[in-house]
Amino acid sequence: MTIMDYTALELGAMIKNKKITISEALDAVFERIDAQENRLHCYLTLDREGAYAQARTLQEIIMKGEETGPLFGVPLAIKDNLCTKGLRTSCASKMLENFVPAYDAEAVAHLKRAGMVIIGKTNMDEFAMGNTTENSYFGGTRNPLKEDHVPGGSSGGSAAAVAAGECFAALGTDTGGSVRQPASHVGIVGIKPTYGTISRYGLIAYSSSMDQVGFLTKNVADGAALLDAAAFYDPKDSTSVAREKSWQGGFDQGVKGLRIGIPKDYFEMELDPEVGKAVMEAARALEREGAIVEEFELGLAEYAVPAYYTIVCGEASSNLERYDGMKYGYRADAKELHETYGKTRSLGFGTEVRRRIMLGTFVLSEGYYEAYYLKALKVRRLIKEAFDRAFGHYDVLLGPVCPKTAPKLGALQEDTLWGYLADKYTVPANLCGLPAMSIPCGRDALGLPIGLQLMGAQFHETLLLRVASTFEKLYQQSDAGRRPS
Amino acid sequence: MEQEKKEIMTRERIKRVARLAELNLSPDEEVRFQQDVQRMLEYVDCLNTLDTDGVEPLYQVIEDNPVMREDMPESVYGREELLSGAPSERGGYFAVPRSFQ
Repeated sequence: MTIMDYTALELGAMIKNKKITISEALDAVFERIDAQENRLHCYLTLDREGAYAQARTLQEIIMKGEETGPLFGVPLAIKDNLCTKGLRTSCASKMLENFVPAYDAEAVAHLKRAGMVIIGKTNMDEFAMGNTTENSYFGGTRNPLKEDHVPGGSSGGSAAAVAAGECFAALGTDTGGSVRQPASHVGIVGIKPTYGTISRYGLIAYSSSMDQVGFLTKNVADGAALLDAAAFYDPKDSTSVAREKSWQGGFDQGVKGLRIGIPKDYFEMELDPEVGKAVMEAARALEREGAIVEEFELGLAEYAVPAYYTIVCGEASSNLERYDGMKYGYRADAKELHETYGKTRSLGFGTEVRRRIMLGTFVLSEGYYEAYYLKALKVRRLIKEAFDRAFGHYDVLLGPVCPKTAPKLGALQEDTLWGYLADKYTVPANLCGLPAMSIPCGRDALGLPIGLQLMGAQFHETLLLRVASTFEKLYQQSDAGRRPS
Repeated sequence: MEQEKKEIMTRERIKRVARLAELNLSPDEEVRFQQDVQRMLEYVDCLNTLDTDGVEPLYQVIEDNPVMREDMPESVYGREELLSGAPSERGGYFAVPRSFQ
């Protein structure tokens, strides 16, 4: 086994026991990065100097034998819409191409305190708008498993970096599936916590009522460790929730007696048969382990995407008003104020961003607000009520993450609406603020990974982790899931 | 039954929305965005098939979370930090183009 084969927690243990130094771990990561980045393009910014400096500081603490946490010294990659003090944060946009934050995002600060070492900032769809990472101003990222395919998005760079061994874990963000979907497409674990669990302070806003920091990791235990290290109440984020860390009690109790519900509606929508098959096989495996598995009618499934896109574009158009070229970011050359606004925003934002701003501005505008935005918010409540009813009967809901495996590069460029429909299984968790996870459950005929989605009621991450870790053990024993040595 | 699709996103409306959003669109972009937005609006129109009479909009997914705090000003960042990203700065102020409107 080489260093890069370790999970984040395994590496953490080796570092704690002084079997590996943090610098050695960084050497291994940068060796991989140097060998692959020209092709894969997972990163937008690498901070070699900062990482090694941090490694030296942290190593001293290890050598002194001081008390350290399980992730101490582990190299971490961060999606480029999370502010990192002194390290360029671009949101993969021309608008923030040269933006260097004066502060760390709260989630970043917590993981730094836990001793994680930041290696760099990863590629993403511009301002998190997209699901292939092709909307990046700096060019896309390749799926490490099949390099002429996308890694998914918008946290594609983070997901690809974990899958390619270019970091041990990565932060992403999930507004409509942007952690779960790339995790599914590259065959790793993705966790989107309950809304309010991770502070959004320093997360460059896309859709404030749905944005949430998420974790991309090699396995479930790593994901839980990052969740634990970053979940704290933050008074600076008015949507932050003071909550119990229920998962600290452990999640290895198995699934006997747990009620797992499978929304029939998801299988009645357009879904690749290989994906459907892998997901149902996963459900049967869990049933053999003692879970009570049942199909049921969730309801309103086809309304999630239209409600989501109306709300997300409205909120995005509002959040992106701040990019006016005045106080930071790109400023176009113009003589007059409004001319500067218009030119800056037209040149600074890519096409998809401008498209969503246009739609969002319209649905929030006078005369249309009630018919579109407010209507979508009412449908949102109906969708939430459908999930509340489902969680009255089931502990966890199970289904696909995406209707297909990772498309080829360039496949979605012409048909944006079809691209939006690909989010149909992931957006409900964002609309309702539910915790959700993606874990590997199969491969298609081309060898592309298939993810299994688990959704829980708000604040019930522990149930998700229980089901996920049970399934992970089963899957890793199967041929498809066997860990490469 | 083929329903006649109402043109909601007219050329005029696209221009108006672009003005509200402070986006300069070229004539080609106006046409393109007009088509894109029109298509999205036709798609999301399906929400109107749902009866939402008496349903309250869901603005916040965690509804019983107390969000208010005391209105106490706090100095967190210094002038230098706040000006650090300024495209143009003069004497400790952001320098911006004048408005002729």
